[in-house]
Amino acid sequence: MGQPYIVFYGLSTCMWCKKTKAFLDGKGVKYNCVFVNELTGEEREKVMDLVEKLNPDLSFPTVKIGDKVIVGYNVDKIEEALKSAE
Amino acid sequence: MPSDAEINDTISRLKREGAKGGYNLNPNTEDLKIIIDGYLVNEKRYGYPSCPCRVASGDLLKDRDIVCPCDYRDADVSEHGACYCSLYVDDDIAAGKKQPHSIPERRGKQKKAVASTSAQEIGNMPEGSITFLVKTNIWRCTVCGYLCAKDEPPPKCPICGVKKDRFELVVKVG
Repeated sequence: MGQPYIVFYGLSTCMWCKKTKAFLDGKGVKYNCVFVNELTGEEREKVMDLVEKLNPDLSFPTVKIGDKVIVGYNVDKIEEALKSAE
Repeated sequence: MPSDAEINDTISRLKREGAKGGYNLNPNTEDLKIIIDGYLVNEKRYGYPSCPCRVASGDLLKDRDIVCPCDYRDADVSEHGACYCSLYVDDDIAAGKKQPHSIPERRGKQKKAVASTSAQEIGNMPEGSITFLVKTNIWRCTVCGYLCAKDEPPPKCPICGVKKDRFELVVKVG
């Protein structure tokens, strides 16, 4: 089975988002990166609604790995989600 | 992009201001610079330094609670040792005994501190009565008498500098 579909939702100004992104980069996995605070207008609304459905706190980073959602900089949970999706 | 000089100046200022109230900044210089970089980007973008780890709307009235220092700092420092973006940390983390970590979002879960009481309602309150509009506990510094309407007292009395354990609860809500 190939790599699961991964989306990273973060803020370009946030340290925990930077650490999470660096961790994903270090793992060498492919992912889509969305910096929500850089979006405007309708696009931003749409993405915010999407993130809120994944994580009702609407907090960042929110990472979707396959069908798992990891909130915050949580290396263990990201590792686990990557493994279980292999 | 904020310059190194701007970042360093801001760190010095926040360190100075924080020390007055007994607040420590994150001791990891590299992390601290990243946090302040985000803080300054937001300050330039919105006109106020909203929390770098939260989405600002750009409308100050909606963002007021997340303008740094945010309304949630004290509660998060008490419970988790650091505020949400980990700019402010407790003594253990400042001393390097513990590490800050990514914590859950408190915003939206904390009750509003002050009831939204209309001017008319306030006008209808009988004279001479005492009405508490705050919905939080009130703490009193036993050393200098400073009163603080928060669920938890601050880490250090901002007036006389004594530690949190010298506060007593004078009004308990809920």
